[in-house]
Amino acid sequence: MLRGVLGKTFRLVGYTIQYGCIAHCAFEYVGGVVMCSGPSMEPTIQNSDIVFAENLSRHFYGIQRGDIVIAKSPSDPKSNICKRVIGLEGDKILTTSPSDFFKSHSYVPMGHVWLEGDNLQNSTDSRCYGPIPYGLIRGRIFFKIWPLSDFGFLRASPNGHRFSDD
Amino acid sequence: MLGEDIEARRHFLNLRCQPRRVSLRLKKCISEVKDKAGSAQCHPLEQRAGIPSGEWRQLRERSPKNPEQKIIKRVIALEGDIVRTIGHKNRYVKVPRGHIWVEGDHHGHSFDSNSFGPVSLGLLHAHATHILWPPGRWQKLESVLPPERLPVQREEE
Repeated sequence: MLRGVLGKTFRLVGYTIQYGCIAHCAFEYVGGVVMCSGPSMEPTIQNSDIVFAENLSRHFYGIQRGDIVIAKSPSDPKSNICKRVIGLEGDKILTTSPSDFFKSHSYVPMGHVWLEGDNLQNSTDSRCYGPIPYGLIRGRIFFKIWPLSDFGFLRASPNGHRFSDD
Repeated sequence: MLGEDIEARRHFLNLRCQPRRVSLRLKKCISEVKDKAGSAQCHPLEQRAGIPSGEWRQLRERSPKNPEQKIIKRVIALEGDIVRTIGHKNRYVKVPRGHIWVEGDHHGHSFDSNSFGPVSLGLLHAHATHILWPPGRWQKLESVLPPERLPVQREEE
């Protein structure tokens, strides 16, 4: 009787550990579901949208210009930021607003990326804290799950002119 | 009763095969000690750790210049401290929020924060605690800040 209960408990613990390991490896290396908050990526991603993020691109260095990525915040390692990649290492980035008369450029250093939110008026991004190291990127967002009215792959940047010229 | 025994035994066997997945993760942690940049310390055993402020540890992190590479350096200053640099373009640097200042023990021959500036905490990978190989160099890596590298001004709690 006791052996039966003990056996069942061990089995339960065994299954929990096994599936816990699988889930951890999946979330860490493959991808997961993420809920985004904040206005900095409107209209592409609204507050409280649920999206699907994959981590394979970052492991294989497949992040490209125009991808929406989740990264660790450079000033607070416990929180994540969700922005679009505007420039990769070596790209020339326009740091002033396109409407300014005197434009200034800067180059993205090696091993870094330049991120900007789609909602340029209301986004703290690389224009504020500079380019961030590639190692801070956690994953790439490519599919929106919720709200259902917006279900599907994510649109391209509404600020097309922000992309750099090499 | 017999059926139950067989079930339990089958599951036991199943369980013994599954830990391969767990041990793969452990192996990955240990095998990653192999490469590091510069003339820094040799192969330590890693464990994940936070950085309590006020403690000076050796940390393994992704290089800010090359995300594929991991480097091992000593933490010299935490956020808010002002550091007197060696060979950096600015003489004094205040470490921004969410960053740390790392230096190798072999000054002048080290690719560290004096070259690439403060490092974001998100790049931190692990805390190096011991040297395992070669056996003649078995030792615990002490969390000791060299007195000449004390920050000029420490952030008060």
